[in-house]
Amino acid sequence: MTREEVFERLTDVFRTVFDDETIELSDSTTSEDIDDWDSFEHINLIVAVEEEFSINIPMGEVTTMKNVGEMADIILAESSK
Amino acid sequence: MIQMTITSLGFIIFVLAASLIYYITPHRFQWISLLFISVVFYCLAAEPYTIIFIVISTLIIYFSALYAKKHSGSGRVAFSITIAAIVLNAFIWFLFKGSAYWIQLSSFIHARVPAFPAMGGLPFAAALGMGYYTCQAIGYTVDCYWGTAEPQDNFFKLFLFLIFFPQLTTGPISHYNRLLPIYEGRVFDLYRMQRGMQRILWGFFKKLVISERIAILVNAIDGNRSSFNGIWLLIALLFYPLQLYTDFSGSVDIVLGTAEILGIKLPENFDNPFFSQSSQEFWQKWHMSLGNWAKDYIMYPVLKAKKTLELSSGVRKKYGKRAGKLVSLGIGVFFTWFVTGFWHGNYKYIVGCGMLYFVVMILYEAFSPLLKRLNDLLGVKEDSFSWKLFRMIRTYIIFSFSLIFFRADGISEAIGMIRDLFLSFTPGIFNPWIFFDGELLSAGLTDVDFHIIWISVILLILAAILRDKYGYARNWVALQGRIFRWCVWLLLLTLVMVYGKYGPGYHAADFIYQGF
Repeated sequence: MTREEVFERLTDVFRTVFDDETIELSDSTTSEDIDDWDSFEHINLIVAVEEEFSINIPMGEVTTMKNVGEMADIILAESSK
Repeated sequence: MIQMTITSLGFIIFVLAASLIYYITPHRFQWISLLFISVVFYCLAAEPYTIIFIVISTLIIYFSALYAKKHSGSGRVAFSITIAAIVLNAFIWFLFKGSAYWIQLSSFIHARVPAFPAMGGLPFAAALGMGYYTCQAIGYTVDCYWGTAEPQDNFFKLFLFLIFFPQLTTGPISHYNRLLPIYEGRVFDLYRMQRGMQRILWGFFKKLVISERIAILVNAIDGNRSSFNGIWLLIALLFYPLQLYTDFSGSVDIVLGTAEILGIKLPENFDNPFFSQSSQEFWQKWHMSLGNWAKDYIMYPVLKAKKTLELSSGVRKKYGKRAGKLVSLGIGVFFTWFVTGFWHGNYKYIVGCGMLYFVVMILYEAFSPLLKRLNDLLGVKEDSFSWKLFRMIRTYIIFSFSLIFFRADGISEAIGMIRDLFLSFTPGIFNPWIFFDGELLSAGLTDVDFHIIWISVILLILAAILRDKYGYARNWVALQGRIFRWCVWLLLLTLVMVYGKYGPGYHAADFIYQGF
């Protein structure tokens, strides 16, 4: 899986979770950029990402990831395990 | 034991002496001098023998983290050890800081089953800052288990993490990873020293000029509610949040300023909370280090637990997406509020801080589509200043009601206070003329005091607006010319010296959050 593919699928996940078809993601996208991305939605998002990529994101990563770029890196790392 | 509150002259002298010792120490040993300074501070500010409890906590997390790492291959062993370390730390905290729970519970059982002994308090004093360092200890253990922190193999370095002196008084609660720079050496920096001093001065202003003054008013009203009724109750209701804010955030300013002088950045605890549009936003900006701690170590693990996910996805499938979200929100908020309420050490906080907000947030979330439709109907412009101001005031009022539980001696007294508040508008009790007939001055504050409060509140708002724009109000001041800068700081210093409530015959009250 390439990084581009990860971003493509991630964009779909984000659009479904936040009910917003206009969301465009980049490496530097953070919760500041998406209105509804608060601490509750963060968990819903993580769970949706886990389902989409059939991975398990460790708790430590859940609390420390800073932007979508980091999220993509974690997905790549976890799905190659 | 010498009295060492952080608003005393003794504390300022201590900080200056500490920074002198710290900066003349060779870089490699600076953390050792910091540890030495912290232990000396501890012995000056608390019962020296109680330091043993911090040593015990350090021992628990030190060995558990190393042992868990050694057995990281076996998830089960590492997990059990981590849980054991958390439970042990929480138990020590519970014995001391949670004593109100078990003392009340035992007397409750004793009244029904006389054979059950009514327990009194412990014969020992609690360690200073137990509520704060216990959170840090638990956070460190969990971080090591999650692999986000590397276990510290130097016991004394870990001990410094828990006992670092500024934060023992009123927090903030630090994450281990973010406090790692504490072990590095650094050179003296005059600019940093000035910045730290400025922040300390601002903290003194908040505590000694504003908070101590409002405290006189609120204490007079709360101390004699039979004669201070009607509008007085409303005054106490609306002034107390300001008192608590200037008290707590003032102390945190002093703590963060002290750490800044030593070149160490501690986490912020407040981010203009009174500008918040909703209660949810408010709690993300008030006592942030506790909120973040609860979010990382309570809410996320609970929400990500298998059972929670099963439940919320079950509800989502059956009743739709919104209902599913409401369930996970409910579970997350409930646990977070319960634990942070519990942390405050008395069941009235669980009800006041916790359950009240739990209900407010769930209701708000549940009714938000309805409220939105109502707003459309009424033609409310949601991005207009007036609507935002209305929401800010609403958030403030909800907060002031929750603080009734903070002020009252128990739940029933709190409910009585709320009832009296609503009764205060009935004829015979309603007494708005106290503002005009001079009776306002019968609660311990003079005319001058009221003027100082108003002017200080304007200064607070000004500083908050500057902070919103420039990160810190100090950043804006630093952009100004030298003469203006000096005027600002000298004026603030004068205000603190002349109008601060201190000096012979006056003992500044303890910080409200010092007891935790």
